[in-house]
Amino acid sequence: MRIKDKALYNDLDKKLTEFIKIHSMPGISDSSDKECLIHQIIDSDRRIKIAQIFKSKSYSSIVCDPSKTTFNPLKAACYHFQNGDIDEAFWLVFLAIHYGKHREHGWNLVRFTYNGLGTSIVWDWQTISNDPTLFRSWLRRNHQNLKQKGTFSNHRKYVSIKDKGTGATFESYVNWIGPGKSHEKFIQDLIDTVGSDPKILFNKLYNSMSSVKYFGRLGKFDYLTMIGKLGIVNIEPDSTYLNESTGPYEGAKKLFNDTSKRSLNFKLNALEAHLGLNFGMQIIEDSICNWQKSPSNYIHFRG
Amino acid sequence: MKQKILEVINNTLTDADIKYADVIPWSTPIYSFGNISNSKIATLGINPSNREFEDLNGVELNGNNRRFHTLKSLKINSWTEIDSAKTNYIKTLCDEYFSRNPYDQWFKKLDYLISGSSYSYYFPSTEACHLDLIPYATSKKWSDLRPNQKHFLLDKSSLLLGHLLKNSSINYLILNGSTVIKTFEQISDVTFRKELQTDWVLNRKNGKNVNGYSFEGDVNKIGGIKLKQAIKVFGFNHNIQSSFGVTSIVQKSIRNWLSNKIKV
Repeated sequence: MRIKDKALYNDLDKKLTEFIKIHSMPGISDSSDKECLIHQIIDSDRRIKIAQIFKSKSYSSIVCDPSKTTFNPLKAACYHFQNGDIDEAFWLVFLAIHYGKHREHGWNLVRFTYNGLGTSIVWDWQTISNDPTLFRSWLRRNHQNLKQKGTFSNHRKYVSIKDKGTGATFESYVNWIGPGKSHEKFIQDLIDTVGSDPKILFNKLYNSMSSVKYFGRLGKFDYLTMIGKLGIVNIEPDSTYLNESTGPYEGAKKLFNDTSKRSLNFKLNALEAHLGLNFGMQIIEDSICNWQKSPSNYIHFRG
Repeated sequence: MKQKILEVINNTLTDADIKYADVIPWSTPIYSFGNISNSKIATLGINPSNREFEDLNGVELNGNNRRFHTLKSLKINSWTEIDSAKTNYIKTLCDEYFSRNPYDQWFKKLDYLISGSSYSYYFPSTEACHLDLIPYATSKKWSDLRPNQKHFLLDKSSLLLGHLLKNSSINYLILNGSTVIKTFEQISDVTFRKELQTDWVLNRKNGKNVNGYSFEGDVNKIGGIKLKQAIKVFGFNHNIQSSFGVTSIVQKSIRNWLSNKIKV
């Protein structure tokens, strides 16, 4: 374990011991279970920090070029955001989350969608938002070719690459942003309505994003947290959104030996406040989901 | 200081005033986030967020989540029941704000901006605090209050801010965003030097770039209260939490500008 991780390990160990005095956590009464959970929290925290490092770096335009293997949608989003193309930044994050990064095929599905399978079409925000039905026609003709280029990530493994899945998702995303087609206006209007509190904004965006088809709890949660982590909008999850989850709910049940979602939400909120980690809700959501898969033997998951 | 808090609670707002101005009736005034007595620098905002008192569902924060006292936590029914002991409780939570359950999503960004000066809200420095022009949390956002409500609250609050700063060791005030800057100008004798900062421009693809401006001045009088010595005031037009598209590069540039201005 790295020295930095060792310090975090000790801090989490101490805080969990304190927290157990307030809310019993039978799931980690055994020291090996507790140790395993702490390792999962450290892994989740590291994943958050990696995304946050992206936003502080300056990238060259090479990361934005989908014809190159150096293309990276998240770095490209940072590049566009820093250069004032707000719409493209949002859109690239959306593409990155929709397909995810596959362990073997990396960002290939994002890359080959974005560059129209290497044709002259680039499905950037301006092109797709002008007429999403054109993209859907293109996808109907090309989804088989696209399928050969890569695979959805684990978080998105049940999503269909066909028009009725991905095509419908993209068109409804464009409609979610609205007739102005401007993310900046969309977010600013929301800030003007509900204020700029990061957690309230997250909550409002999460709820309104339900109009994006086949983009469920995990999609919305991952997309909005990534927007926050990259500093595109100052938002942070206000909850683990446990009610609609499977893995995190199983993890919370196991941890607290409790099945009531209301009660578990309350305890997880208290745990987040107690641990005091940046993007704490995502760390908890991610770590307990991974922990419950193997509570006593630590397995390193890659997100 | 304690006497001043007692005065403000007892004399500033009546129940009718609270109702008129949409102040959260069961919330205490927050005279300072962090210990003003230790502080050499203070950031300045408009007024406290309702999230200092309640969660997203409007339920009062309790237990470990509590940030400030309320009528309920002080076990009283009205502010007229405040006594010296209860004032101490209020003061303790204000002083210890950053070591308990601070609203980090809001304050970490400001802390980063002043961090180049080596001052911080957080341990081990704790030589920075946050003040608001209005110490009262309102049930509506500041921008949604009527002009007469804003004027009323400002009129009632500027005296307290003047007294607080007069009796403190604060040398620097940092104003976060153009609304704070404009409002501060209304209640003080400051005259700002406004300067375009090319590094702070928020670029837009459509060419409608948002310019970034720095503000610099000295203040000797706030709310009619003459300070013991002039306080240096620095500000920036981008509200660091709610201006859209303030990149980390712009934030870093503001941080560098402040660290060059502030002499520790």
